[in-house]
Amino acid sequence: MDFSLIPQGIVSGLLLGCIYALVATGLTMIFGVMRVLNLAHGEFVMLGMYLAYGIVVATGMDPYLSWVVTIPALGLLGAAVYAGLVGPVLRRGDENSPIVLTVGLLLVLQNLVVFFLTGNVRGLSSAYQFMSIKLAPIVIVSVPLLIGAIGSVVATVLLFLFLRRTEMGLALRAVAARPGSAPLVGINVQHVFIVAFSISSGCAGLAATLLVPAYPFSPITGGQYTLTALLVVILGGLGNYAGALVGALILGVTQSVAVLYLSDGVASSVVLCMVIAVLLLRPQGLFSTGAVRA
Amino acid sequence: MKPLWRSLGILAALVGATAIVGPYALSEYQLQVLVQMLAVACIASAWNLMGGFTGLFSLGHITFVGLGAYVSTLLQVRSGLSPWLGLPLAMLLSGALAAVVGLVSYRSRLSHAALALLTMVLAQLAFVLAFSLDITQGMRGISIPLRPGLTQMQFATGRGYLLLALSMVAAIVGLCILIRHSKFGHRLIALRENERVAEAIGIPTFRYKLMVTIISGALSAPGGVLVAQYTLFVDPDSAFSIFKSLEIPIYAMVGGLGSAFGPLIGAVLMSTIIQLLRPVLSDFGAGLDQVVFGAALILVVLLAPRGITGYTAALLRRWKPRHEAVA
Repeated sequence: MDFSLIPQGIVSGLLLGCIYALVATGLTMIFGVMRVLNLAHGEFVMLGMYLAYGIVVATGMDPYLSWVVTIPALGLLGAAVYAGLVGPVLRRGDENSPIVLTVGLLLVLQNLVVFFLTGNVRGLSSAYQFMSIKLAPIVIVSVPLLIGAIGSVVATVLLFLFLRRTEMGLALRAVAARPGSAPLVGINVQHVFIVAFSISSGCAGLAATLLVPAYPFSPITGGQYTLTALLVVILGGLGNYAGALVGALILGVTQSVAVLYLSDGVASSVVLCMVIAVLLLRPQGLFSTGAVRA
Repeated sequence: MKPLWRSLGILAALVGATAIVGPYALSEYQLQVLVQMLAVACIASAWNLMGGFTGLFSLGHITFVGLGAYVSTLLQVRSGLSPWLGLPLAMLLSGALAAVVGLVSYRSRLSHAALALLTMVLAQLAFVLAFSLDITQGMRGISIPLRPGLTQMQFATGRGYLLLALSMVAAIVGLCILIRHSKFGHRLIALRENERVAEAIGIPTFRYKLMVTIISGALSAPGGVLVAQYTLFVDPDSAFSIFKSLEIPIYAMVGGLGSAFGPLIGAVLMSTIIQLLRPVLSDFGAGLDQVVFGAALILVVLLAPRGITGYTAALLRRWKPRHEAVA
């Protein structure tokens, strides 16, 4: 067996993992704050990719600048989805209805795109697409992957700072930790929920901008991102931000290294079995502090 | 009349009437649609035992359906076993898989969300395995050789398949009715409403959850076998598609969670609406029927969370007391 490719696999995997982390952070935020599993999260990423693609094609701007539009647009969409759909169902208080609601949302968003923009696979042909740089003698990384990872890390750090250093972030963490007691100290829970939902879909918007220069997409792309994000949050523990970050890196590295030596099918089976094992043996995630349990 | 006998009577009348009138009143194409509708009703009814009765929300039920389809198809193609014998074996294996899933998830006390995730990941794993294993012939899929005849569970006309599908519906929905009106069923509902209280009043929750999961898994297989026999083809996408898996709860949800007739009503209604709308909508473009499907689901969750049966029952209750007061 040739081991010389492993450093390459690990580096690509870590970079990929950073982007996964951004998508998974959005999912984690909604689950952590309001205990809703948003199965339409990947559809937000998919919508964002179409939006970014449209802007770049129409204006010819640099694809990496499209975040100025995708983040606010997706953030607003998330707020609207919460206010119109998720909020009313959530207030009824049963656990399963919100999941079904997000399945409905998934079907509607995915197929509206099919209807208006066809199901064709699209891709942006940008200058970045085939650029790569040499990091070390045997490690070459593609530039879009590197930029995507850096962008994701910056966003994740900003989000951590927001959660730790601002009053709104404190309110978010309070609602996540003690949903029943938070209103007693004067936190407007509905307000927190709507903010959490728009931050989450804003993350999806940023992820879309970071992915669009190099990754082709179609209406069913969203499902793949949702699945990846779900695998990440299982590894990291539902509702655990730091866990999501580490889970994403583990997933990225495992995938990248596994495909070097195993066929596609076996590689994905390995990843899925690993995730199932974690879910069963440590349902609180690999790194849970025990504070937030799924 | 006791509700149990009334429900069984309604089911028998519905199935009997469809069996007699269907072949004469419907065209061959309409029969095809009806058979598919009934297959979906079987699967959604099996799901409802777990998801509706007991509140154990599986998002990967297609795993048990697809496993059933692959088992009976492989036995038939590889060793020439009749699907009539393959069907019970398929149910046995789907039930066994469900037992494993139940055993490990209820042992580790998974939350609702985690169970939903686990079953979804399992469906994805089944898809990947069917895709990459040699025995399932990967994405080429397996074709069942055409050999019409009752012993091979193949029929030359839609009528034979209709009778087959109707007997499966009768058996599965009938069993759901029996469970719904049994002590077992009432305890499952109690468990769904509040597991801790159920445990406190002496319901062995772990054993009951495991039992209902095994029954639900085993009853998912016939729907898969029916579709495989009908299309004479199984491939990873038809057997384990995650989108199909997510659709299963929709039928039960629209019809009414926890009602024995709910999934049947939901499946027939949703499929009929889609069939009626498809020619109209397809003039506008692809995908619109799925938009309607998803929008219907959202509306049901928002406006009638207990589905059509729950909504009708509430309407009836509002009307009935006045009626009885007069009498």
